Amino acid sequence: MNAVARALTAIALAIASTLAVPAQAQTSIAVGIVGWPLDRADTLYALAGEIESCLTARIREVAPEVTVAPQRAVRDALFPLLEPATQPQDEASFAKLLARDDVRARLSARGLRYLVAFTGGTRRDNWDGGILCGAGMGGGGCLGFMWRGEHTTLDAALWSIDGSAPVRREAARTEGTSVVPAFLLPIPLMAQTQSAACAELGERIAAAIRESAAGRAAAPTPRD
Amino acid sequence: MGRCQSNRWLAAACATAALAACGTVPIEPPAEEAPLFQRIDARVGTSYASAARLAYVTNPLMRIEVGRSSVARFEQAFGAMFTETVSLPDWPPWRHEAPKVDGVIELERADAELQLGDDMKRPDVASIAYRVCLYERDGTAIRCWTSSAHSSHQRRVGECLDLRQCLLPQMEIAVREAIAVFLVDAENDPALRRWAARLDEGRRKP
Repeated sequence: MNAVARALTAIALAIASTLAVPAQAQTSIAVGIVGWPLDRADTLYALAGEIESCLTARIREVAPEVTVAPQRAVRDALFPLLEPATQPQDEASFAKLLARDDVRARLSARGLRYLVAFTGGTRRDNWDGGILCGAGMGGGGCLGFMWRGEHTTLDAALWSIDGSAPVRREAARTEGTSVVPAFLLPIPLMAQTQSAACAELGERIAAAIRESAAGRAAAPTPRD
Repeated sequence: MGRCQSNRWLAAACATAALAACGTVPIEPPAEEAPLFQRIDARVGTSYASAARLAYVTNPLMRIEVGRSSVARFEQAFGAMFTETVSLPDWPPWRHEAPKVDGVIELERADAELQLGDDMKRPDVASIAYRVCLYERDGTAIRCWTSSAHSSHQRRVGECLDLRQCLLPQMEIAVREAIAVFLVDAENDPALRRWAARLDEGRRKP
């Protein structure tokens, strides 16, 4: 009898979850992500990169209702205005770009409500210490200790597509030390400052998107 | 003797496999969306000089087809600039025929370069320069633009073990950027706007 009750409960839950899906789809929030301002000295990640993937994954993890359009799609939609040489130089110019009708039309056509503009990266110091390795007839090995500092700074601004200023600014900074102890074999233990900073920033941005979207939904609509 | 010969065959097979792996590689095609540009009401012939169409960069690791990708992107760019574009045949040369268009826009040159760096202190640099000219249908130059861009990246140890994963995006970024610079320059170019205004005026005259 209990087994039948459990089976019925499971079926009821399954039906309820399928009914809940359309409701969740209705509240989906589309967001574009873009690296801005780009570091012109190193532009490899202008179309895709580790920080973008990490932020996107974290935002999705914290706020599954948020869909994130990759920066390649955002740059393609706004081409030629967001390339390294043609990108806006400051916030006022970025706001001016978002205020353009053709730009808004492009972003709205993709259903985007917000843009996440992120910047920053990881700085690694030089290695300190040293490791000596040697080998002889009877075998070989290493002995020593090396370390280096690692600092990640990431900043992000959440822009509403129809806004003239960022809705929210967030930043994350982490520091760590990579070490390589060597006793017979060197064992590298690398600091993971970038993933830590990215996870922190992604979480804050996800919360900011949620809050902003909820605030807009709650705001009274102007009457004609 | 037999073992030596089989080793030679093995070496030859490895070399062939390595060459095949490092053959000609294309750059990502352009997005479907047209670039943002304040379109000019004109019927313009498009022409691509072979110096631009067949441009490529080569190094011991790979050969990147830059010309074909550039032409695809410029086709899209010219399509966004003018209300109508007509692809002009290579032969006979349009300068000899005076095509029935308001003007001719030509991609005259595409010069690409790839400097391989290392994973210590020398970045990889991909660079490209274009020369585009707009002509009256009789061949009189209205305006020429030169745009260039480069993409630089310092590899870290262990990053880009397959170099194509870094060099191809770098070349794509340089190509995109140079075309973006051309489009922004052209959109704000008084000579182009004057020419467009002259065309408008000519159309209004009975």
